[in-house]
Amino acid sequence: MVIGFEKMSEVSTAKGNEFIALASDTDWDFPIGGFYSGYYALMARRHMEEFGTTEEQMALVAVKNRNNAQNNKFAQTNPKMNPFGMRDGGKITVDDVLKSPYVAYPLKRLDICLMSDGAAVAILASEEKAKKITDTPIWITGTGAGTDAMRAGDRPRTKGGVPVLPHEKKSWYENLEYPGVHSFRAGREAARQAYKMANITNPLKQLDVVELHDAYTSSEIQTYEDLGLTRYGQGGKLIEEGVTTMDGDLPVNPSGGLIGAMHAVGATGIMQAVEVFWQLQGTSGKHHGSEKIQVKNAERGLIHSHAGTGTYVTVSIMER
Amino acid sequence: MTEVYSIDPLIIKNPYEIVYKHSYGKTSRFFTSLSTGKLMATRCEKCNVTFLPPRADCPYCLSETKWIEISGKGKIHTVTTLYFSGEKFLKDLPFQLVYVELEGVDTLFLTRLKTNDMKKVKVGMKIRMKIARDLEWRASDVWAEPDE
Repeated sequence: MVIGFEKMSEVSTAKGNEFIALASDTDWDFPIGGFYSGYYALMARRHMEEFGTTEEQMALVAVKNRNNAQNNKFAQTNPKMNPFGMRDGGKITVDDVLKSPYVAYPLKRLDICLMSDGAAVAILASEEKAKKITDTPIWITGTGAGTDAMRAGDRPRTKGGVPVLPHEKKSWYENLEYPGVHSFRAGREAARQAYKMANITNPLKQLDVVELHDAYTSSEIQTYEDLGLTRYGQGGKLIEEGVTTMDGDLPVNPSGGLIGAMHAVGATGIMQAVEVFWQLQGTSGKHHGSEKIQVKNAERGLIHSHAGTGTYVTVSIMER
Repeated sequence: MTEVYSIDPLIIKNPYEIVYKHSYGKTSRFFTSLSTGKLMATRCEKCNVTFLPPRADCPYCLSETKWIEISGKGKIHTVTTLYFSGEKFLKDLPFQLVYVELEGVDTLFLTRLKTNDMKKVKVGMKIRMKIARDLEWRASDVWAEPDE
């Protein structure tokens, strides 16, 4: 049994952010006023500079995730279904996001994940035991983990340094300085390993549902690229084209993710596993009390968890 | 008297303070050099890589690095303006953080940018590192200022 939990409501938002920032570099980054929204804002700003990503594209991610969460009865932003939900939750528009106050330019309040109290549990078992416990077990067919320098600034900027996935060409990235602070090399490596184990050669086609670590709208866009759902630099376009919405080719974060559902840090990764487990069983509607959350005929899903500023990233593939 | 937030369940105010002894270990020389007005980084001669923040050992070949002085001139790689922060820094808001590309340094250095005109700041802008007169032996003893 894998249990994840966190209780973040005991301290103020500023103190909570300070605690989390103390898990970053305490010699160089924290003492100058660094904290996670600041670090991700710096990365997002560089992503904009490098690839032309816009605040409107980021806002589209916030709208997608927040509105998906309105079908998730455990979501913090869903006061209609969740009696403990925040009173100012509910659906939002791009305009709401763009008008919400800046926390760290270019990131605004609605671009940023929640702070939550929450818990999630998953049961892992051998093939033999799993078949005894349930008629609809879900198989873990691939896992991967990548690491990188703790401080994003220590990561190299190597021309043509992208480790390419099977469906990509080295020539796409000849002039890209990689990973720099615009991309997560650890996320790319985790995906590469998991895809290899699960025989995935075209993730956008072969995956049916994804729950990824959207700590920020910008990092969801960055993660689309790390996971190879689109080329590096095209993450903003992917959301603009609606590919990752509930009606798109590959729904990402039907639960609402960290922005819409919750980010009780110690529980989040397991929460994602539970959500994809239900999606693949076809029981999401039953558990959430709304069929709108269920991705039709989902057979293969991906979960993605992200630590630090992309210091340790894991990817797992789950199949029906 | 203990401050009480709620009776059922009983929820009380519970302040807690910690004093740390914080060691800079083998990177101490960066801080002690500031008192002579010098900005120091470390360099791996084998890999031809210069690190700031300094590293005592090269992460690529694991050999010992050596200390070198740097000019402190550079340019902005990326910038953010903070309107919120951890509790400790709320009093400083708003302020700007930048990753800077410094002359002779291969890594990016995270520091504060101090300027009278935050609106003028952009990626690629030339900067120069400054050193505090009264040292507190923290990374906040150095910061960047516009140099154009």
